[in-house]
Amino acid sequence: MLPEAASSYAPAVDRVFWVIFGLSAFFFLLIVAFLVYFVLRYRNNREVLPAFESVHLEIAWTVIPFVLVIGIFYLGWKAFVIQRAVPEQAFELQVNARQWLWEFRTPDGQVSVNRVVIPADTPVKVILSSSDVIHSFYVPAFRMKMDAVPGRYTYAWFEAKPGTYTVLCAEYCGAAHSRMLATLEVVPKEEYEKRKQPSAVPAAATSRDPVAWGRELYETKGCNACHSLDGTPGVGPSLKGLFGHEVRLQDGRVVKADENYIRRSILDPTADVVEGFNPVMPPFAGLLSEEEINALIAFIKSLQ
Amino acid sequence: MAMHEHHGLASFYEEGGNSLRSWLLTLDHKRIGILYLVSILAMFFLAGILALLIRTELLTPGKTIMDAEAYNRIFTLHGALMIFTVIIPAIPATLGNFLLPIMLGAKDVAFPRLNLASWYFYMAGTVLMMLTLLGGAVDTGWTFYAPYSILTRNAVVVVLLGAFLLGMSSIFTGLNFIVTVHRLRAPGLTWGRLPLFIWALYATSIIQVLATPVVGITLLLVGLERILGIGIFNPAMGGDPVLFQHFFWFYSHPAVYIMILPAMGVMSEVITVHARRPIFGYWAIAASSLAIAAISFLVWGHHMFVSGMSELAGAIFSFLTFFVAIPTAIKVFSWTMTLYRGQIRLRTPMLYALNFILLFTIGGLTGLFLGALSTDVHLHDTYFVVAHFHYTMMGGVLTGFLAGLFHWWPKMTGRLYSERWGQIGAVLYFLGFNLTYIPQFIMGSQGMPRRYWDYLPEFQGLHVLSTIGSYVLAVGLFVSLGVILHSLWKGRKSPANPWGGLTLEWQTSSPPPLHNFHGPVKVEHGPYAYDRVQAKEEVEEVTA
Ligand code: HEC
Ligand SMILES: [Cu+2]
Repeated sequence: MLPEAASSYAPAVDRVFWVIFGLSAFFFLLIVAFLVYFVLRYRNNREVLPAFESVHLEIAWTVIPFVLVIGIFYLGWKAFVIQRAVPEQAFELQVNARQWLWEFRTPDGQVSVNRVVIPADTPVKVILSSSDVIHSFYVPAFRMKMDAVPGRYTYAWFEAKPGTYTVLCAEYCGAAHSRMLATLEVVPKEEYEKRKQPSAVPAAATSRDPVAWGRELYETKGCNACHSLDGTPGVGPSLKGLFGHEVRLQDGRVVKADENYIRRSILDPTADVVEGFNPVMPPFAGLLSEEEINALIAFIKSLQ
Repeated sequence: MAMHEHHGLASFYEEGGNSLRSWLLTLDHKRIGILYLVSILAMFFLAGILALLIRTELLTPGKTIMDAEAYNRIFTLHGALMIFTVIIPAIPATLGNFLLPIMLGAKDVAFPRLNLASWYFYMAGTVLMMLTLLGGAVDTGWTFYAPYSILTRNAVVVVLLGAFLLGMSSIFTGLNFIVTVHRLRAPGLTWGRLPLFIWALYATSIIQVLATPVVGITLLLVGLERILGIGIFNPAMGGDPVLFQHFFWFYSHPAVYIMILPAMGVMSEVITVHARRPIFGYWAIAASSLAIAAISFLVWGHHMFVSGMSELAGAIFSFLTFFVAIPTAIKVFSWTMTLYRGQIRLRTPMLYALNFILLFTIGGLTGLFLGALSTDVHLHDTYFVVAHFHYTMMGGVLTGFLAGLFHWWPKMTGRLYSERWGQIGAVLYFLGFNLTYIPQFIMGSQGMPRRYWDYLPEFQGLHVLSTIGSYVLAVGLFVSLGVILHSLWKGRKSPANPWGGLTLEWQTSSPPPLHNFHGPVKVEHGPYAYDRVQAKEEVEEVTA
């Protein structure tokens, strides 16, 4: 029933789940047993049987559930305290939610979209904010969920085993709500330290095939939430066959989709809003490096 | 009390004639009940079709039959119509309007004009909600959470106005029932002899009158914020989006008891009549209705454990939430014990009543997972919640409504329906229901969020099961609908007291005359004195 338990407190939450499950199953089966017995026994009975009243029974079925639910409350509360109490000196992960992607910022200043690498077996404090509406940061494997509310910070924490985990948006936030996913890559501490070396990424980047890299960015930066590659419009226009063609804009202008147009569309989308679409694309200025923008443009060019 | 000799008064259908005017300007509570019944069944049909579209879309990840924007509009409309135009009024406005005065031995409700006005408000609100369909519909979810509901560019204000009018209509009904119960009881009908259905409607009416204004004001504030740009809930203008949730749930949590209490009342009637047995624990059931009404005002925060509310507030709300479990459990145990030593007849209404006990118990027990803080963090806003509230709202309220509809159908229309097909409908309903929602509990536990148009491929198997279940459920409902419609053309005439019930509505003809009774009414025993008073079951054969 429950997904893998990958955070330090997930087993504690699961224990509460199974205790409630056991009690519920017991009471449910008890009621079913009585119902079935009574129905079979007294079905089509034509005889008026003596009255039956029992104050003792009524007291029992008031007091016993009472004690049990207080017990359940207590268990739920105890595990909740662990879920909410962030250990001192936690690794601080800033997460900003916006329609419809997740922006991550690690303490060493690395910024990324929809994918972040974090160290394993380290308490991580997630500090949540939102640029527009309410979202909710949900990692089923961690038994962790917290709303990202515009205008304030909320927080949650976890300490995870190495692995790759899906982040889902759990608070309904509009058209691409169900595509607002991110990936948490939890790696052993040593590996994390190694990956942190900033020289590694650009060097590899410049030597990579820009189209393949652009396709990867299309997925990891969340473009796929709104843009398809097969010509069907979603929240945004499909990217297929865009490059080199004329685009009709909302203000009546018609422009040719060249490199500059695409660059502007990515960094400052409200400058040229495509006709028939809402200006909901988040600006990616500051979220993409120069190489990444080039790779994305190369990729879009390849989609003829 | 018995008045089996009818003095030949014409039924209320014949008395007033059947002109359009005789219906649209009627002040008769029975006709108003029928007007409501027809409108509510139509809305149930529509919102049910939307549900089938939702389930069909979810057969595959990504697009199956519609895009994400259409999907979001459809689930919003499904929720808003089901909650505001079907589930809240279903029992009080149809069965309650028709039966409450009769069960009290009165000629009508205290304020018949207000009663008619409530139907017009209902229609106006419903029409407004449907109008938004033309204007592109609304995509906020029935919860209208700010700031999404303030920022999204569609006809939110119209839907809010619709919900506001529907709220007014339910306040009118509530006021009417409270005054009627206090003022218009027949001689001898003491509080201790009130049928439990009346107790339940009474408790419901109190919540309706106290809580509905709050949501009305909240919805108006959202409207004002959209139109005038005042910052109440939108943080970009200095407002507080979490405040919206407090306001909203301050009404909407008690509202779930506005919905379920009348169904619980129906249960007490149906079970006692078809088990021919005094209710077990009359006072415990009556008092638990009032207890639920009172506690329901103190638990709204359990919808907000992960909203950023303080941990202490979360703990208090969680603690109080568990107290609602007690009166609910008492009712379920009492109904079950009522069957003990009974003379059980498994007619269609009784099958729905048994469906209710099973489905509602599952709904209630799964509430424990959501009331407990740490498990709620995981399950909140997942399919677990979707399944939980469908077990209570559909498995509870609508099953109770169907139990009551089949129970009182002969009284309301004067016709008997096909028992065999009624039973087939009830069984299909039960099977389809569980097949639809049990997979959703599993998906939710595994982390499938709600309101998702697209989903991870590993959930597809469960989604397919759930969709198949929803088709079976729909077939069950169509069979049931067919059964009652068929009875109108082909049904045998119903006697006054087909099941041998002891409450007042069974003492008058089916359907009743304009002023409900054929002579003066006097009550000499409690509503469930089956151990002392014998009423003949005028329709005997039981085909189960
Ligand atoms: C939240 C949804 C969303 C996301 C995420 C998003 N876009 Fe967009 N995008 C849109 C919408 C809506 C439009 C059309 C309106 C406009 O021009 O601003 C658009 C327009 C564009 C255009 C112009 C298309 C045309 O037909 O002229 C390009 C190019 C583009 N986006 C690229 C990207 C890239 C690259 C990414 C990922 C880095 C991305 N978008 C992420 C919604 C999104
Ligand atoms: Cu979101």
